[in-house]
Amino acid sequence: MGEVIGETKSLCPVCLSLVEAQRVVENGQVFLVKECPDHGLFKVPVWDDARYYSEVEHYDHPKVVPQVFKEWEKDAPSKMWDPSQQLQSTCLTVVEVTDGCNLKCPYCFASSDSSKMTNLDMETLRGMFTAVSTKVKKPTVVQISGGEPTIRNDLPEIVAMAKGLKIDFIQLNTNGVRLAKEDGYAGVMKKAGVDSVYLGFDTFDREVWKKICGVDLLDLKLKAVENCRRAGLPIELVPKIIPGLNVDQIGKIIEFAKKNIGIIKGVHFQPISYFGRVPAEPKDENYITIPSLLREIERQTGGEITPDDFIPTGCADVHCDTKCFGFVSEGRFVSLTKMSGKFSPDLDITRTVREGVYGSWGNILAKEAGLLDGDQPMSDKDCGCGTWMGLVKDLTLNALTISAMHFQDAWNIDYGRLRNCCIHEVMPDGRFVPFCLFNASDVRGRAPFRELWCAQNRK
Amino acid sequence: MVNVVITPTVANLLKERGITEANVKETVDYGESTKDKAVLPAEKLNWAVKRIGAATFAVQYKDSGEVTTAFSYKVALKAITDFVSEDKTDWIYAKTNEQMYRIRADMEYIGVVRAASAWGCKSSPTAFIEEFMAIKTIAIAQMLLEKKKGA
Repeated sequence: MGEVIGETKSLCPVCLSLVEAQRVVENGQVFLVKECPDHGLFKVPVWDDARYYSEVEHYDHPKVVPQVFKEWEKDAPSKMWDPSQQLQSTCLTVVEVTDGCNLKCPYCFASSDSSKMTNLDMETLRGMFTAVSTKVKKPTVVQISGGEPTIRNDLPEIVAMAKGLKIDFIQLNTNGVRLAKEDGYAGVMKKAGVDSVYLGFDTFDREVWKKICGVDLLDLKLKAVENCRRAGLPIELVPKIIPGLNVDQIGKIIEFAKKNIGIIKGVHFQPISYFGRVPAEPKDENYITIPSLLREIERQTGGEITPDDFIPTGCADVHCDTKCFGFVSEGRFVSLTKMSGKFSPDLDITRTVREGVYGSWGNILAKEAGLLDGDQPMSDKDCGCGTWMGLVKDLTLNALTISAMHFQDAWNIDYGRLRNCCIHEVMPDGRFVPFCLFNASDVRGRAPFRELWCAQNRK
Repeated sequence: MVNVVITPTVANLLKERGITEANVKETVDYGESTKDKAVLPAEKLNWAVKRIGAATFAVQYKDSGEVTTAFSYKVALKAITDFVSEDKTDWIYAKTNEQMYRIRADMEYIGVVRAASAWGCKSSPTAFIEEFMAIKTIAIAQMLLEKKKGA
């Protein structure tokens, strides 16, 4: 075995028991090595650049001990999780309104399809949104998800209810099918209160769509983008990146985002995680880690965007995500990430991330430039075309964020990372669960926290 | 001439903004010797502006010489293009004792010319850009342009 660089806990992917694990460096890569007394040894790649693994720790940021997990202390599924070990408060919450879907993708976090139809009732949803607005500091950011939330005809009422309960920012996580097929639906969602669309967008290759989602979705996805543009509903493209299928699409997706700047505000890559429904148990070559993804971005953009342009937000664990912020000018992406440097230790990083999602980075820059400062003179002659303020305004309208988050599955989950999780799933009873734990599933696709979600709904 | 006084608080501000005491003194000396400066008589405040090298420095200071703030920007004045005499300020142009008002000035940086709002008057060749504009809008615009040109 290589050099042990850390001790942690993980899960057995067969029985989901908590097991001791080690972070091990071998041939310049970081692996998670663990052994279950009943199911044997597992060794999984987690980061393919050991030097970069330690370099990003420079961006770690003080965490805010959360209060939200105290509610689990009496009945947490102790086999999998000790809630008292969580270190970070909430920056974003996920509310799943249904476990049903209008597709049946071979890869699906939630193992959704049309045979499932657990829709949370309005009273339960009210309780969940209330939990967010009372437990999470402002601005509150909720991602409405599922299954596929747009299969619910009452989704506009759900969104309006959330806004009525003072949720500041609502992101709609969707496959885009209904946005594409139903004229005016994007406008309906916007009117109800959706602030942005989190749109799955994996490839431009029609055959690859069939492998990832079971059907060629390219035309539907492009139509969804157009319909959102017509409605003025901003989009974040969310490609899940699967080795052997769509790694070569990374550059094309970024180029598409650049060409559609103004309506597309970000591209959020998700290196594949093996929870929910997946075609087979993963082998090493089935993973792509963040450093590999960044090298592909550099290669496929011809060096326009480099790994040096990315830094972890420091909100979750530094090995969970990476982000690059910039703007598109004359067809080129101009990175501004490093201008911000390392955040001050006094900064409330979860708030900064929530504000970043809520306001978009373009607005934050505009605010820094005094464009959104109500005390300053803002006549058209001061901030219109031809002025310095107008220049900042134009460039910030073309702001683009490129990011990646590698969710953990039962094979590679590192509880040292999990403790720092800031993305929390809301259960029907109003309690919060770290996102990766909520989705953690065994080799048969069984996910205990998802089962609990269903059980709570039936009560 | 005025003896420039820099308190520890202002010294920290200068350090944050990359402004040297020499820049401050040269700017104040220019304003005092030419009277090409703005004054706020009620507050006993002065505002001097001078282009030094590739940057313009602005210093506000009391009659006693104590500096209250200083800031700088790289955009250079090309021409004053508009006078909005009905939008007045209490600042007076010292050389002619004329009350200043809103002006618009074309400012240039790395080949890009854009208009900025400032205080001035017809008898003043100087555009007095306010601090918030300099350290916020223009600073961000300069940075964005630098990044864009360097990309």
